[in-house]
Amino acid sequence: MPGTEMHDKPDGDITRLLDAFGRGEPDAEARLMDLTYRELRKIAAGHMRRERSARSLQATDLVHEAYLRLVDQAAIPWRDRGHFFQAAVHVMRRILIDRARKRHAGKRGGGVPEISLDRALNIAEAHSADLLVLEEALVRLEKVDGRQCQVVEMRFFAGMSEDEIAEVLGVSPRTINREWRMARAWLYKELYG
Amino acid sequence: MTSEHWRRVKSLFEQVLDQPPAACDVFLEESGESPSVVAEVRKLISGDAQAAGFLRNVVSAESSAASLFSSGEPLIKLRFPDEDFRCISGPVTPPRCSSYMIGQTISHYRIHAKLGEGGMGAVYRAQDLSLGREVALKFLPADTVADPQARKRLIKEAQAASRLNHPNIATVYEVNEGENAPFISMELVTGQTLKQIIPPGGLAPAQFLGIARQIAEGLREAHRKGVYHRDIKPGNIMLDSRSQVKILDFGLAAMARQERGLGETEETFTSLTADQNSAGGTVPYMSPEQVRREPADARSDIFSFGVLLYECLSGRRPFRGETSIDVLHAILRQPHTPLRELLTELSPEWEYLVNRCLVKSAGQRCASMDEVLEALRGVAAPAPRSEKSLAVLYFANLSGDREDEYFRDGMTEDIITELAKIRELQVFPRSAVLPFRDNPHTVARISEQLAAAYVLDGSVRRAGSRLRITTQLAEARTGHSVWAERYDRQLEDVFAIQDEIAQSIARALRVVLTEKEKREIEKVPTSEVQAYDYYLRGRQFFYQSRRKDLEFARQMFARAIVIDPGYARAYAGVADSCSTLHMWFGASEDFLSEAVAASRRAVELDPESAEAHASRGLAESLIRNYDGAGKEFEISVRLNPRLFEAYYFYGRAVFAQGRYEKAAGLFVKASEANPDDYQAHALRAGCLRALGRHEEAHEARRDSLRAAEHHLQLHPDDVRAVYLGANALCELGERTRALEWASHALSMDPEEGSVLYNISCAYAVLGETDQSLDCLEKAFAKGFGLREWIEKDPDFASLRSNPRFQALFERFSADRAKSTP
Repeated sequence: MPGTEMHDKPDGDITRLLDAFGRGEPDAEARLMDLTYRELRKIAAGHMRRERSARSLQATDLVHEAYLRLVDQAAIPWRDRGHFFQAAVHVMRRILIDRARKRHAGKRGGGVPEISLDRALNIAEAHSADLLVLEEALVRLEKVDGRQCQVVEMRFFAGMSEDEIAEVLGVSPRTINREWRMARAWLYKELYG
Repeated sequence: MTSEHWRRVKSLFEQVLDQPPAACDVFLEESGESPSVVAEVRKLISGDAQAAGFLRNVVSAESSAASLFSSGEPLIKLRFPDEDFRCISGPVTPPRCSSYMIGQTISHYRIHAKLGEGGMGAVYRAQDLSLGREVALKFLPADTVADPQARKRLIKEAQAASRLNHPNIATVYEVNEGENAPFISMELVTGQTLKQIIPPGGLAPAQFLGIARQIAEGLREAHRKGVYHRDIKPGNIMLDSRSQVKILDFGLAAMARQERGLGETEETFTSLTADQNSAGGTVPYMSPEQVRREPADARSDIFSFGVLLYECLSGRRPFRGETSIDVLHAILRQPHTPLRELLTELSPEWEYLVNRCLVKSAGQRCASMDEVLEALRGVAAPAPRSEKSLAVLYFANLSGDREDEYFRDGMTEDIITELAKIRELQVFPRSAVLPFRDNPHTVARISEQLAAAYVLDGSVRRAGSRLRITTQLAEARTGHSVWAERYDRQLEDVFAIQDEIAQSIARALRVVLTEKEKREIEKVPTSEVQAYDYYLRGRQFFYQSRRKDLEFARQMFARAIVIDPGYARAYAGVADSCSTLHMWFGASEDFLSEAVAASRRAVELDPESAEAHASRGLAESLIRNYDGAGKEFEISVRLNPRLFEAYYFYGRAVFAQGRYEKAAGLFVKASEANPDDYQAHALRAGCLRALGRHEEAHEARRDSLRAAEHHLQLHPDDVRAVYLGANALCELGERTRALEWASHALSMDPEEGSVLYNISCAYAVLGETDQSLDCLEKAFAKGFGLREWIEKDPDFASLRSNPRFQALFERFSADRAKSTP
């Protein structure tokens, strides 16, 4: 198994490494990538734990895509582990929204003659449309409450538990629960009145 | 909404959450907040109550409650291997994916049949109406080309590919922009992909070399024209029946579907964002620069080619993992296991080449396909095992009668035996040349595969009492003929011809025969041609080694003896048939007595025959006359130090006495005498386990498995190699594969006692009690099994207390007692 060598304290490590990376220390990038990989694997493992069905594969794929994008962004100076997670999770949101947008756009235009739309396609379309509406609301939420938006990203897009989010953001799980409930209620009302 | 307003809403909302639900209203009214804040909080409270299942988890929408919008369908439904392509993602190519296409004419192509559907869209067999030729049409998934910019780029790339013209590249004839979706017409290639033919343990390096070279030639041509493949993998390499290679899908990697199978690491994919320089590729074969989405050039193809080499040679991929992210990370960060750790016998040149292709930094990698081809030339010429090594190929049977094959086989085998008597020659054993029997081959290929310095080839034609034999000896490296002869004689001259061939070869290779060797070669085994004929028939049956065959073999050898009572080899044949029947098929003690008597007679008749002494050694060991057996085996290997059977059965005899150290040494010798044998390794593993040398035992099991895999490549229907392989996999803890091999063995020969018994052992070790007992019951019903052996067989340890096992064994013992007076 690649990448199974574990460090004792990933939190300290990633923050320190980000620091080293920021100072341009040689080798820091390579080590940072290892950590990125390991942290993302944990997110994927979380998905797997919660979801034993074949669909957990989708979560893995999402993480995999996020990994690729983060590898792309290795030059971004992350401040600390929390910041790294925010970036990772934000990337996941982008991926999902991009996909929905693309699918939705394909439905409308793209010059594809729509002969018979079977059930699966209808559903896919409905979902991507809903997700795009949600995204619009989320953009509004982000403007008034950045942290709530992050919590939604972590919970909803990255599938992290409240405890995991609390740990990453350095606040109590209770706080996260509050933020989450309010954000969820607010988004619900935005979408459904 | 101001941030101050939001702050106040948030604060009040959080306080309300701490209240019992019934008290909320009162709390809000008494909060003293402005009506707009209170109204907002009321809205949120009601939202909170309604939204319990909302936004559970975007990617794992399982039940309706958990789904984003409670439809129960996952938001992002991606592709699983067995799912219908059309359901995966939004816009697909609607009518093109259905049978509706068959019979349609599109542009100047009439569509005949669907060939397949994959990451690149649907593929059809079609007729080019203007040129009359058959082509393959690929329709690209519409969503891939919805973006006009991307579409332009893709078409440009396919057009570049269409300028390639090389025998190892499937030609792209035309890129047609079509009305709705573009399609490509390309050369129709039939055959199998490399992916379909890689066996679990990898291809034989010498066999694979020609394929690797052709792929490299095709790639070199493309790279010279500035065209990169970007998705080199075994699934894109097609082989026709003559092992001619065609690289498929040149220039198409960028057209791969943009949605890809999750976890399904085999899927081709490109980046999701159309604006990036899409690098394409299939996860396990991607180069590090492709993973990073950096521009990919020739060196990227070279990396993928390295992955392909690795997989084809070893049967496993260099970069592996549970999920695609693990694989990607391995590609970027993990070193691969050196090939020769997996394949100890692989030449260092192969490993060196693969390592140079798999360097992670493109700058330090093999820079061009010219370099790769140069390195492949270095791989191509393995040093022959010795200067005077000789492969005697099975002669062609020109008698026009399949019935006569035993004669051709026997003739060839006897020439091998004659030549093997010459110490200075290294002659490949029968098992090494068997794969080439009736298999069109070139001298060059044989020399690659066997590393023989010389190859002897020929033909046999028998018509009535006439015998015509042609034969030629060629130098393997150059293909030059060194000696050739044609014999047109009476059947009676068959031994004289064999002698002449052996002596001529010795002369041609400048080997001076000793007096003893000369005597050995000139010895005529029987003066009766009819006896020889029966003997050869018997030997052919003997090699089939199933119970019925062995019984036939015994009868044939016996008939030979009736005609020529002084025929030592025929006695040895009777002895070996009886010994084997007793050993493997539980034949009665009478057979054992016959084996002992016949083998003693064989030795009396021909005391200088190594084979006769080995036969006697085996028979003596079966009656537990171990001292006598040991003496016979010692004489046998002194007479012929290369006789596999002598070492192998000597090893078994010594093993039965519990002398494991000595036995292990003999099994090593057996493997040296016949490097392709898979049984001696397995027995060596047993010795080492008994000695507590577990690591070495593990290695021996690996050797055994590897040899069995290799053997199965050449003889796919040798069920013994399959069940011994299954047993080795059990011991190695590879449960899944062990179960696969076990069920494969059973499907090959469900009625054969030896198969049933050994698979019963495998199931017992794997804890599949019912299946194990089912097999055992059937094996007993077929009369298979040795009571003493079953009593001790450690494989059944877990079953000994099982009542069904006990009942089976009791009944079996009772039956045996009846049949053995």
